[in-house]
Formats: sequence, structure tokens, C-alpha cells
Amino acid sequence: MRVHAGVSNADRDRALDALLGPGAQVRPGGEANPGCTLIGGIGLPWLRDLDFGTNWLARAAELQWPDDVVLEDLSYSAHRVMHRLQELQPARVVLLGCMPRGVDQPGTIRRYRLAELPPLDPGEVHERLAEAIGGIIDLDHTLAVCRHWDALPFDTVVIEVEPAEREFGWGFSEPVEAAVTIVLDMVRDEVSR
Amino acid sequence: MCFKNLPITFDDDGRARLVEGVADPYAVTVAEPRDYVRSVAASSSAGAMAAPPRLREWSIDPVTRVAGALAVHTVLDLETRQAVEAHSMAMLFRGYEIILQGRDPRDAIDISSRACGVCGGVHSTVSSLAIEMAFGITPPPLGVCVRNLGEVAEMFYDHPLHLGLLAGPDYSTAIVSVTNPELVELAERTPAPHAGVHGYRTVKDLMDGFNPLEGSIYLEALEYTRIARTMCTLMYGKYPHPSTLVPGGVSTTVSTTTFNEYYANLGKIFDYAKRLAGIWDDICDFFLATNPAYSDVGLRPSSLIQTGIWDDPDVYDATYANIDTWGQARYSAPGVVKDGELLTTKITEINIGVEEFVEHSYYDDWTTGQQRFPTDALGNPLSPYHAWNKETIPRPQGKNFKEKYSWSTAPRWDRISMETGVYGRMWTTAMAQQLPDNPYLEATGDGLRILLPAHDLPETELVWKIPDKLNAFERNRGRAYGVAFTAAIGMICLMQAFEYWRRGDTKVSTRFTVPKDERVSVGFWEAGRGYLTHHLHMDGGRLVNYQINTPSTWNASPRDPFGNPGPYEEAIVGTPILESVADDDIKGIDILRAIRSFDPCMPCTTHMDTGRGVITREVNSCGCTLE
Repeated sequence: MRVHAGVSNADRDRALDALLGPGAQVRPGGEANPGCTLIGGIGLPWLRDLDFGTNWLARAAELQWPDDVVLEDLSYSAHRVMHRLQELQPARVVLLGCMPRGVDQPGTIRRYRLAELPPLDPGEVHERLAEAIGGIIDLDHTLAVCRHWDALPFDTVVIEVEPAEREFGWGFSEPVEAAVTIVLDMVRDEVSR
Repeated sequence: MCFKNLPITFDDDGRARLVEGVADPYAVTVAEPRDYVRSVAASSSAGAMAAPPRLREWSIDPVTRVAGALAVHTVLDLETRQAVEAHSMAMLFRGYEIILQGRDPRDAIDISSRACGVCGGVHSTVSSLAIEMAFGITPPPLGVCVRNLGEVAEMFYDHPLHLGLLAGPDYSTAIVSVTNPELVELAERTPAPHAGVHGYRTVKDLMDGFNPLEGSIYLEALEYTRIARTMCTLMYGKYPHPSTLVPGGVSTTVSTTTFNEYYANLGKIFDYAKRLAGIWDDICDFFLATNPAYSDVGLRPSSLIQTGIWDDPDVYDATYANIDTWGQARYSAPGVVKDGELLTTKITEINIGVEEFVEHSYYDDWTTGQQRFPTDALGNPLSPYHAWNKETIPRPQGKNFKEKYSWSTAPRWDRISMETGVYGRMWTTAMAQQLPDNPYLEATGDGLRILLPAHDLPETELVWKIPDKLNAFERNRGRAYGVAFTAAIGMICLMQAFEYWRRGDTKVSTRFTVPKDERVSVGFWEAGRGYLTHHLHMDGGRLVNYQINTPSTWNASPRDPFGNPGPYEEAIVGTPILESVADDDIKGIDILRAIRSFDPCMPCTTHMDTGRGVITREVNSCGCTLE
């Protein structure tokens, strides 16, 4: 390669700092709505209960919400969600999804705060990010990647439902359908705190 | 004469026809797969005197840091320390062809887009191309420009991710210190030749930069996906899976601001591309100089196939009749390279030479009935194994390396195994020398000269040379220079867009109606990883057949009926194990480097209950390798 003028280490550092921030950290940028409350749904299209986050949001979008509440479908790769969170800069996040943990009855609702999660293992974050890059949409991937880079605010709550139906198709199973309004009440509680 | 195996010849006017007197021109004589272990076992039982080699079976399932579910079975000879056998296994059936049957053709744009979770717009684009050819409409020039610019931006998402986060860690201090600690010590004492460009003083600094989660090269790549997504969104409105790609152009609302914002971001890419080329030059040259045996990692013949991408808006008319003309006018040339020789740049010749085989794939053969299309619309002969004649008939069953072992089919051109990639399109473009006059990109026959304008870094000329050997290192180096190649094309396309805008040619789409009569068409485009086609057959306003062929279907393909391995398999066999550790501590890093250098893009689920079609681990990602 031929360069028409030399570049010093300082130039490189300045370029990196401008891009990544001092210390090569990922920095926020782009469209912002600082201080908002984000209700984010994560779903897998056309897979019945597993599309809970997306379809719940579609229903919730028909309802009245305070002005500072943003509803967004976050059904995309974890690092893209991280970038979006860094742009938006919410003060509070409620994440919704259906996750097959296999330890509870279908329709069981689990609510937990970010602070309640166990510490992250960097190796696991790397593996989850590598999967996410390949396009895998997964609530746990999103949590791991966003937690690692502090993209989620301290005031983050996850509300997840145990699925019953996971085959291709539309609509929720009975137990998950029954959870829809309960989740709505839980989300309203979070928003009105 | 570009065909050696298929009985296709050309008349004086250059029209293709079948060689006369061949009774069954596309007959397939199935051969025993060429497997090393079986041949060793056979020679041993025949009383061979030589001591049997020390073989160790090595299966990697799943291969991590690739997009999707890829498994690789290898056999290592610990005596010679090299891989002697390989089977590449795509682990999932996705069924897009079956989902699309009977639908409105426009549905293919949105549905096929979901075939890939990495390239969020390429399937929508190629689907739009296939549909506009079927509908008989031509997009306005600015619509072509916007499509080109969106696709340029997608490459800026794909390539940095692979180089920084997927392949890059294989060259990190974290990994090399385990497999080859002596190289880390040497790297610490080795100045990085391009330190003046990328700012890393030694090769060890570069290796540190590749460390997962914390290395600056790793983090920078992650950050550039944000910039790329911003650029995609400017052109597509939304990314991934844009809803603005339509037959006859785009439905995006563009303005001067759109193009100005795109330009501001493209400038950042110029600088990144300058640094990236230097980073990968220094890493590749370090390894190759340290031990020349690294040049055999991932080595396979220089046989490549590319479909071409980025249309000249003044030439592209979306017709099959003129497909060779507008194909050759593409900024990235379509083409077939066989053992380093460029055989053709005509899309019709690429198209009629492609067949897909399923002898070692979990599908049934479909060629027993009447062949649907014996020729294309121009009278060129078509194989019964061609996409327009293909049916997707899944047949799940147990794995058997002698029989069936992959959900990937085995595409072949002229019955030869071909690979495809970023470096492939640079290769065909360099050899074809068909680029229009422009200030940024010159094809020299043996490489490319790429002039990247000044941004924060000064104007820089990069020179990429076609490598003597196609191995893991040259694939990654090529991909790094590919960012610069793409940025130069982005600049050409952006200048064109500004010019159309200045002239007042601001229309970006053409109205259409869905025809009700029978139509046959094809979209030729490229994904981040290369070759991409959608073959379409519609009637009564509905899809009769829709066939998708993707880059990783070529690269990950299993053996063909003639016993020949696919590209991953070829690249693994002969790869030396260069780790400086005891046999029991081998991590297989050289094999993984070989595989990852292709930037595999596989379907993303690990297992499937084939009996009832119930997926046992749900993910939604890249299924572009498969049906």
C-alpha cells in the first residue's frame, strides 16, 4: 500500500478516540431521546409464543402511554440493540420476551431486575456476541452484550413468559394469551413508578 | 471455449448449444467419494507394508464464530501433522423455496430477506431484481444508484464484523499465546511495517488489538457496524430487512441531505479502509514470513465464481436479453476463474453452467420427470440440474459420510467445485479490466489500484494483487482490501447519484402491475460473501418455483456425485497443524482459520427433530446456505 503522507500514532489515537471515545470504549451517538422509558419487545417471527415480545408490543401500541414512553421492537441482533440503546439513552428499560427455560409451567411470568442477574463471564459474552453477529435473536444474548458495554440503564426490568407453543404459526397459546394482560399490568406498574 | 465438462459449445455467433450426438448430455455417473480413511483401510487390508498413519478423528460441532450451524468432521494425521480428510455439514433445513411456492411474487422480497441474519438487504435486492425482470420493468437511474449505495453500506457492515470479531480473534494474543507462544514473543520484537498508517507499533500490538471484547481492532469493528447501519438506513429507510426495496427501484424518500449524510459517513469508511488494509497486510505477512507452511492453511485451487454487483444505471435495463451487457458493465464484474484463468464474464455463461447436486445432501433428486426448461429465454441449453428446473424435496435422514451428510446442496459450475467471496469479486474485476473510466478504481489485470480520498487520513492509494495461492491468509487480506474496493465503488456511485440529482432525475421507482401470464426470470447479485442468485418462475400472478443459491451453499457444499469435495473440504484437507504444542493439546486453530477465512454463513439452529419438524432450539438467523 502507498500512503501520500505519514500518520503518527497520535493521529491514530485521535481517530480512534473520535470514533470510540477515550480508552476505545463504544460510545453512544445518533438519534437520542434521553431520559425516556423504553419498552422493548424481543420476538421470533412466525413462531407462535416465541414472537411474544413483538406481538405484545403491537397490541400495546394501540393503547395510551405517557409521552416519555417509547415502544420499540428490538427483535434484532444484540449488538444492534446495543447501538440503538446508546442512541436512545433511556433512563429506564422494560424488556419483554418469551423464553423457554423449561423450569416453569407454560404461561409463567418471570420478572427480574438487571441487578439480580449473576456477573457476566467475558468468554460467554464473546460467544454470545459471535452468535448475535450471525443474526441470532435471543433475549439472553441481548442482555449479555448490552450489560457488558453498559448500554442498559441500572433501572432495567425483564419480563419474560414461559412459552407453550413454539412451532411455526400465528397467535399465542392459551396460557401465554392469558399472560398478556397480566404483563400489561406489570409494565404499567413499571412505567408509573 | 469455457466449458470442459459440460457438452456445451458455441456457434459462430457465440450462441451456446449442446454438442451434437451426445445421447444424454447431462448424464451423471455417480462415483465413490474420495475418502482418505477408506483408502488407507483398503490399502492396509490389501497387505500394504507401510506402517499405518497415526490418525485422529476431529469433529467440531458447532464451529463457533461463524454465522450459523456449521459442523466439520476432520481426520488428522498426527505423523505428518496435517488434516487428511474433511466433511462439511450444514445442519439445518430452512425451506424458503417451499414457503414461497404459490405466493404473490412480491412476497419473496420480504420473506427471502429473512434467509440471512447478517446481510439484511441482499436477498431483498436480488429478489427485486428477479421480480423486475419478470415484470418487464426498468428502474430509473437514481433508483439504481440508491440500491447500489445501500449495498455498498451493507458490505461495510459485513466485512468489518468478520475481520474484527469472527476471524480476527484467531490471530489475537489471547489465542496465539496458547497455540504458538513463541510467535507472540517474536511478534513483540517485530515492528509493524504499516505502523505509520494504522498506528500499532509492533505485530504484538496488532495481536492485542484482536483480543476478544477488549482489543481496539475488535471494538473498532463493532463500532463500524453502527456506521454501516446508519448508511444502510439512509438508503433503505430501515435496516436490517428493509421494506423499501421494490421491483423497479426503491420506495425510499431521498434528498440532497440523504446523500450528504451518506458522504459524511463514507469518509469515515475511507480512513477505516486505509488502516484495515495495513493491519491485515502486517498480520498476514508476519505469519507467512515466520513459517511458509502457513501458506498451506486453507489452500485450495484458485477456482472462483462471482455473479457481479453494483449496476451502471445507464446500462442496466433488467432484461435477460441484455444480461451479458449490463452484467459486464457492473462495477464488480461477474465471472468464473478456473485455476487462476478467467473463463468468462458473461452472466448467461455463468448461468447455464451452474448445476446443483444432492447425492450427499438430505434431498431427493428431482430429475426423474419431464424437464421444465430445456433452454433459457435466449435458447441457451439448461441442465435438468439447473435452478429453473430444480425442485426442493427435503429428505431428512441419518448422517452417513458415504451417502448423505449435509443440508447444503453441491452447486458446481461446469461440474467443478468453485468458491466465492469478497476477494473473488476483486479477482474477477481485476482480470476482466472492464471498469469504466473513474478516478478511484483501476483494474490492472493482476490486481486493483484503489484510490481512497482524504478524510482525517490523507489520500491513499492501495494496491491489491491477485495472490499466487488462495489460502486462509489471502482470503482475509482480500477481505480487508475489499473494504477499500467497496468504498471506492461507493464513491463512484455517490458521484453518479449527485449528478442525476443535479440534472433533476430524481425519480427512484417505476410503477408496475403484476403480470398474470407465465414469466421466468433471475436475479444475479452478490452478498457480502459473494455469489447470490434467485431464480423465479411465476404463472397466474403466483410463484410456481423460486430457488435461492447463496455463497455459502457453494463454499460449504458436500461432495458432488463425481466424488469431488466442496471448497471447505478441499481447503481443510492438506492444512498443516502448525501449533507448537503436544498432540493432546492441539486446539485445531489452523483448521479453524481455514474454515473461518471463508466467512461461513450458515443456518442458525443447532438441532432439529426431523420427524415432526419441531425445532428444539429456536433462533432466527442466517439460513442462506440452505434451501
